[in-house]
Amino acid sequence: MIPDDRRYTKTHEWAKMEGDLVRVGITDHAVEELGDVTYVEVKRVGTRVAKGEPMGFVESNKAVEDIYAPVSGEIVEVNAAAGVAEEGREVESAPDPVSEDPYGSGWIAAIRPDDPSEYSGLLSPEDYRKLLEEEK
Amino acid sequence: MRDYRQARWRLGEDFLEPLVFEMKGGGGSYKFRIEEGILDYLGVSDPWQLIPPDLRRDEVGLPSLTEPRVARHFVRLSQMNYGVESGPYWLGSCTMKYNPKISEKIASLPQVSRIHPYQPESTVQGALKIMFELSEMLAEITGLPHFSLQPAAGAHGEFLGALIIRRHLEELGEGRRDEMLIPVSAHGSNFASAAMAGFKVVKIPADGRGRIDLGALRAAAGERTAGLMTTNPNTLGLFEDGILEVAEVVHSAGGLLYYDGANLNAILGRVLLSSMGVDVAHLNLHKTFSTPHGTGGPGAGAVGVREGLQDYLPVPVVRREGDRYVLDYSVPKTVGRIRSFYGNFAVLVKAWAYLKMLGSEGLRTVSGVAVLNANYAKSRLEGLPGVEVPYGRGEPCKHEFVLSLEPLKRETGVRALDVAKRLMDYGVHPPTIYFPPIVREAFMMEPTESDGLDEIEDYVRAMEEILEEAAENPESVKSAPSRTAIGRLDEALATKRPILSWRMYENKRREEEGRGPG
Repeated sequence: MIPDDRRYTKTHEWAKMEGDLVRVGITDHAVEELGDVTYVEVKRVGTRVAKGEPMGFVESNKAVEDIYAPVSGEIVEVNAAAGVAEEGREVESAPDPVSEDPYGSGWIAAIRPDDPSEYSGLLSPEDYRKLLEEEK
Repeated sequence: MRDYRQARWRLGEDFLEPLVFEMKGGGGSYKFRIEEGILDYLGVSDPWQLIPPDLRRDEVGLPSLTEPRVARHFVRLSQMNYGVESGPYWLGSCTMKYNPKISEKIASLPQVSRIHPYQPESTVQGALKIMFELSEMLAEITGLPHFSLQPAAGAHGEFLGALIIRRHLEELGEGRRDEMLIPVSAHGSNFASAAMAGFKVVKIPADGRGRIDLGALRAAAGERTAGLMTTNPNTLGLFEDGILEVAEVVHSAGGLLYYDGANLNAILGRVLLSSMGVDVAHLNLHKTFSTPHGTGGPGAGAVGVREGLQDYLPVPVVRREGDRYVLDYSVPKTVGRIRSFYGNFAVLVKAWAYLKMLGSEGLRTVSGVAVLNANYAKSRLEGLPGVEVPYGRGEPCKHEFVLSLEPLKRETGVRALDVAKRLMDYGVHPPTIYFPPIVREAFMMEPTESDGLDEIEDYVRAMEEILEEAAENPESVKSAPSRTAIGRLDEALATKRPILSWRMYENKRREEEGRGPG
């Protein structure tokens, strides 16, 4: 499943422009490859991240993978309600929504982009579909 | 195919054998009595008076059970478990070999088990001699002349090794070197150990042959490089045939070569670590030298270093002075103490006994048979439907090999996880799955030298039947296991909501019943 209302990265993050924020999560395919997600951590709200650099990580029984920032900017929200932890802080619940609803309630963080035009440089849903075909 | 059923001790519909805390008594209430001689000596009639009132408890909450009930409890638990003495245990990268009884017997002798770490050296010469001889044997096996036996596990050894590298670089005025290069196929603990020792981890990709990508290594190595941590053979079971070039690149950049002994079983008595350019290494005594594994029991991750690095080893070090053995605390630039006393002594004794029993010829046979078994098993499995060998096809492997079940998943929807679960229904332990991460649907198998031809053929037949079942009835494989004490577990749940102690379990039960934590 690849929703048409957002853009993607080669490293299997999705990004969705919402007003002046870019909401970020991992794709259905990433969840499929990782298996049930057991822990997600991102840098603290207020941290600056650079496009293509790690902004956090996602952990499953199989592996720990970095989450790469799809755009440069400042982290302004972390989805604590979905069990996503801020670096060095305890989180109340397990990140079940990240596995169960990765495109919806399981979003991970929101970034205020330095340069909103970076967003249009990300993969289109069509490009991402092709990428997954090639990876098979 | 053998008809396997694991024991399933149940109490009612939902519960397995209860925990000892949940059992109804039978041994009467727990009371202790202090002998009168002791009370006289202390000059008190009521020992309770010796304990401050706020520390007294009327109930200690210990279960009170009869000896037969306790014996049955632990036998039942063991019957619902699976170990290396139950059957084949090809858990790749873990070297789950049989632990000889003679090693246990020697480690249980009172001269070994009833000594105290604070006894004067003159009364424990035998124990010191065992540690000294073990260090010497490990030095002979690896070509690294100086060893510390203190680390209590493999990862503990890695951490010590990384600390030694850091201390050495600081000593050379090279403290700015803060990057540890680690191949992507390395054990997860390497990344963690390097980070814990204060290094930034730089991942080195594999080339098309599954070896360290030399071009990428050259590009990554530089004036920030502290070292490279690697295993050889690597986690794909392939010998890093470029190891001398790898060592050259790392050394000429000014870094040190660290060797993770996880896969030493493949090359015992065949090649010295020193001739591969290794500066620092840890050996997992619980893998290669057949002492019981960690994860609940003590392990041992002895660390060896080349000439010139011995002054950084942790204290104390056992030395021989004439015909006496002494503990030397005067290592000049030591990284300090990393564990209480002298390491997991009983584990060291078992490794010593194993080495004494086998000798150098025996060790060569160990690696020879382990590699032969792996190659035979690989040749029997690689042609099966749904299976492919992504790296190392058409060349011999070392002590282990990694299959990919990606074709099976594509064709039937059955994943490596499902096949692993079904293998349990055949009375064999599944292999390591989904590791290393560079192989999709990875199935990482290490038969070790413990299994014979019959066991390998049994394992192969089980795989054949399961792959056939996957093609005909994928849903039934996905529901496995069904012949084990408990069925398919939610593996993620244990990580997300761990219950690691009786108290955590009690608190969870209280929460579920709407009471607060106790």
